Amino acid sequence: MTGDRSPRTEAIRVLDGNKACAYGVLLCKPDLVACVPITPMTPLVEAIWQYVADGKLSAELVEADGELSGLSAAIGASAAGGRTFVGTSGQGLAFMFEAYLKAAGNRLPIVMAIASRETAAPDGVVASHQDFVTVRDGGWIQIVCESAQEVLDTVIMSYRLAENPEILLPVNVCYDGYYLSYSTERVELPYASDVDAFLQPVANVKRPTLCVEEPLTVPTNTSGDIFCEFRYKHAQAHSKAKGLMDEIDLEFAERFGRGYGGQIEEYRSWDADVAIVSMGSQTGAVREVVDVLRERGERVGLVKLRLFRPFPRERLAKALSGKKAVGVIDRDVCFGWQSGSLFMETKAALQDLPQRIPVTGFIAGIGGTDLSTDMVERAFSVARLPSEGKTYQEITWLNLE
Amino acid sequence: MIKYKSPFEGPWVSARPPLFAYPTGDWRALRPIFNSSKCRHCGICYFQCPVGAVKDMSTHCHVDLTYCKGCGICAAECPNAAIVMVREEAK
Repeated sequence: MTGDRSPRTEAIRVLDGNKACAYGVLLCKPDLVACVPITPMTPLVEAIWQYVADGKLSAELVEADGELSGLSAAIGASAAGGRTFVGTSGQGLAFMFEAYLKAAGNRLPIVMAIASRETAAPDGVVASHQDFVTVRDGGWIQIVCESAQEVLDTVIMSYRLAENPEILLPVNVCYDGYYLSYSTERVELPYASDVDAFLQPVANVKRPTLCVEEPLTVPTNTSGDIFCEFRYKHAQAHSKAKGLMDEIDLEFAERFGRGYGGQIEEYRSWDADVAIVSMGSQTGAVREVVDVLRERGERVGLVKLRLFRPFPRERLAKALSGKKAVGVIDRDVCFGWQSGSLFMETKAALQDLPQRIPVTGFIAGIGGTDLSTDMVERAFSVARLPSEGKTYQEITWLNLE
Repeated sequence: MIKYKSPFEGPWVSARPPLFAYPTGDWRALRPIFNSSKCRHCGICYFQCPVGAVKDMSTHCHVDLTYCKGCGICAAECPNAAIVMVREEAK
């Protein structure tokens, strides 16, 4: 988000994604932060620890021996009623998996940043969406960011969403490793008092917590109908989170002068013939190509997906309704479909429309490679083919083909 | 319309006695059948039951089937062979 400075900005800084995330965490005043440094999110830990050392943030810091115990510490603190923050990436997320499932099932409003990275093997400490996409059915809310500013703002919005008594779900704030975590950008810092006011509705919210006076057990060991009931309630909370995400985004825009469209953002797409669906840092490249092609008179557009879990199927289908063709760019692989994950889910969402829209998928930026504007232009030219009645390849690996 | 059994959104449960808040009886494959004429009211089944489902010792042993998981410890420990485990579908 560039443009004029919002009147609700205390200062403008040049920050990378990790530092922007850390500043968002500072403003949300968590009671406990549990992190194990892992590339490419290590500076996020350093920045938060520095805030505590400087006396700017009074949070319990857990230097866990591993990501599994780190998230487990956050689970305990969150169950005791605290506001908690966790950060990780790639193999760190993989190591958390057992606790990852429990955090969601126990309905604990933990916020976790994922500086997204490839999963091993091959071993590669490089950018990708493979890590958070792999755990998409773990029951967390997953929000994907495009810029450092969006990372900061999304951390704040995430606590508002997670701690809503109708939701009570943990939230992943996903930002591409390297492309976002290490790239510096202009970032507007909101006033701490404004963030306090924005988070006020969830400041003293009643939720089940562990305390001596009114002892509770979590999670209870159960099966059968009661187990089914908790699964059902968990799924219902995901349904409710979609509409609430839009409402929170609107309120954020009113207060801070920056909005992101909620679940999705539609960019020059309402009258487009061909639209590309994208999430994460590569969306900036798609945005640029849309502008270039529009200059040439081509009716193209972008639909940026922000909310990956729960999947915004209703709004996505509405945004793509009437398009002659749709392309989807993925920085991840959905094994079994040999496509990207966003491709597969977009195709499923379009099933809700009466009209059949041809969808082509592009896998690019794998292994940390640059997802360039040239690639996006190629993607548009292939995505257009089915609308012209020409033969086309359903999935294209832009790095290889 | 879904009828909720738990007041909680997640798998939380009150830890105040009685500790069993959720009916674990639907786990059961074998049901304990008490023979009151053989029962000597020693209370061994009462103390051995892992979920505290054996409740009434005043007249003869009585088990709360809402919580009995059918583990069979009571039948194995009973010194008077007053308890037999019967398959649920055969009862």
